[in-house]
Amino acid sequence: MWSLLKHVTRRLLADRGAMFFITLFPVLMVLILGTSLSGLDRAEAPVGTISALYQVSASDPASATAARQFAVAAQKQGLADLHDVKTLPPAAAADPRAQVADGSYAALVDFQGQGRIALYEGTDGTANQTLEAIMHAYVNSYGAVSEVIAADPGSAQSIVSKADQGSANDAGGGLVQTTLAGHSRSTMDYYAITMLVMMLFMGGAIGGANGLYASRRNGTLRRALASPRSRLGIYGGYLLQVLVMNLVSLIVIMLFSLIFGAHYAATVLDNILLFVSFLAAGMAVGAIFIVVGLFIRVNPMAVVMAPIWVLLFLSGTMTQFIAIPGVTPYLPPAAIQNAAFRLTIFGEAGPSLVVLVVSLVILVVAALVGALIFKRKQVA
Amino acid sequence: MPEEYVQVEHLVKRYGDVVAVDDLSFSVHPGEIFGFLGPNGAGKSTTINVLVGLTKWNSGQIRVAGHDLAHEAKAVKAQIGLVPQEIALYRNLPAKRNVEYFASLYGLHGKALKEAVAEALAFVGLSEQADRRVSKLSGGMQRRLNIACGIAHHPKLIVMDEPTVGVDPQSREHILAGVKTLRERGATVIYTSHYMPEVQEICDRIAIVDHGKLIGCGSERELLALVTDQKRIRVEFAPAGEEASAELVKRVQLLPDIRTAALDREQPSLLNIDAQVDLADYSSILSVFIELGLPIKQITSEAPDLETTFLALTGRELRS
Repeated sequence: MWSLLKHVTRRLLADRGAMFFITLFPVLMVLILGTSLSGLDRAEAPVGTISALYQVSASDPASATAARQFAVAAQKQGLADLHDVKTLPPAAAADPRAQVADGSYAALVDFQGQGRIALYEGTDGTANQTLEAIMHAYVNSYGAVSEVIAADPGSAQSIVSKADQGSANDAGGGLVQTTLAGHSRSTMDYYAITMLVMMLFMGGAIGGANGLYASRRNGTLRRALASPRSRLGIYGGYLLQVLVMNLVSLIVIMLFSLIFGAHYAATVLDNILLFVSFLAAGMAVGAIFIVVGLFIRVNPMAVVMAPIWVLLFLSGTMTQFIAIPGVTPYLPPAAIQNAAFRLTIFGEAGPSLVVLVVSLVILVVAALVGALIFKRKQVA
Repeated sequence: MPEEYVQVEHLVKRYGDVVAVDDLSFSVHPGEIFGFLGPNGAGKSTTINVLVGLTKWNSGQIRVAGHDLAHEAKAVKAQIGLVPQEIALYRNLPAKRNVEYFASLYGLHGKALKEAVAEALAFVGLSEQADRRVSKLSGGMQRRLNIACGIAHHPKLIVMDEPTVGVDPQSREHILAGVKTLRERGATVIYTSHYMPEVQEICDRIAIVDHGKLIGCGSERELLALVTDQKRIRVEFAPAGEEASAELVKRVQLLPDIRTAALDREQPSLLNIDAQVDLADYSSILSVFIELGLPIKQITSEAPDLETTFLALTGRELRS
């Protein structure tokens, strides 16, 4: 076993292509992403002045008051400048949307009551996103406060006074209190996880399939099978190869992403769980692709990479903006990375434990199936 | 040591409806170099694969060093060193790491392994290249390293599948001398090759297989005796055009007592004729030359060699 491990490690270290793929490539990715994307999550760019129309079309007095109160609160928080409020000429007021359409105003915000807002957007994307964010916040707050008041009408006064405190002093509590979940999170945290998922799928697939394929092609498998070493022992060598590859890959990515400011889980135990669950998932992928390597007749790089890339793309691994409702959450990479996010951000170990157990089951089943085929099939 | 080191009896191997090896029986004496000859598709590689435990067979019995391959595969494999036709090496690893790995598969480790690696590399003349990556070695050196990987664990039976394919003459001589040395050290060698002169030079006995069947087996002299009714006549003539040469071959082939007639590959103005041994009167051959107006320079007649024997037994050339 020891000599096999030495041999597998030597082969891996001597394989420049594999070493580039599992160490230098992710390091470069971390380097590029770390330097270019780490500032994405900081909204430092000034939005500038957005000239928007707003009207209150709510008929019930409470909603109309709420809308006006929102405007006052926005004024207090510096979100909106109501000094520039103008009364539109009667013709324009009759059709305010036309003012947006012709570019005179960025958008029309119509407070329709019961927390409903109609936002008629113009062509300025930044203005639209900004207004959407503000209005979302309003709608959410309205809904939350309405729920509380409906359940406990006596709390209305308390909420109002808290809201007042919040607007007077940002540091002093306010309606919503925010606490950080262990760390100040950055885009790098997201990419560190997704990169690990990417590597365990690509590395596992290529390492698993290519290891056997290359040995079949260059005759070294034939030579090994002619030795008195058992077939199962030789098969185990390929699993060992995937294990070493995954270990090197995981350690390198985790270390380098830490250097570039990524955060993982808050506790040592959770980090161990994260590492072990990723390792098990990588081994499961590797074990499946070793079976593929038993049959494949062309270079795995040519056939395995494309579906893996598609799978990763659809799983939101390449970018968080890709997600197909009803499909993405059930794709293995998405499930693994979501479990990792829940562990690292919220400290929820459950999903990662599920990933660990499912991966181990798949690993055992794939290894047994592979071993059975390897034992019976003429593989060399 | 058993009287016969390798005994193959009534071996049959089928791939679906195709019978690759058909009731093949032969034996290999201890300490001999046993040549295994056959054209492509003759069943040679299948037999070798069965013998080294890589392929299961349908029926028949194989014994190596007294062990039954069907029931004692591990014991049989421990006796064998395989030198495959392809260069089965890890190209990214240094030469010595390759030998070390393959020798370790036979249970060698520690000091014994180190010594075995050094010895094998020295045997093939690659001691100074021990730390060089395989990809940096020349083709001939890779072939020699391929052999080192098959013999480092001191196997009693060495199976060499065309070990000199594509090597330069110097490396070939080195390899052939090495095979003889292995025999002198007591190893039994099964040697397959497409190069008849190699087989003639180093093999003590030769088996010829074709269509999965054993066509002949014995020493060179014994094999030649199988086709004593044939002799080779060589007629050297003045260089002629392609059309005339083709017509010549066609007409000579039609003559009685002529088995085959073909122009020499390297010298197109030389006609090789395999004829019945009792053909004493060459007048019919000469008349064809006269009719076609081709002046004859020289006629020689010689006893059949292993090449003609092979042709006579299989109806095919060795490299067909």
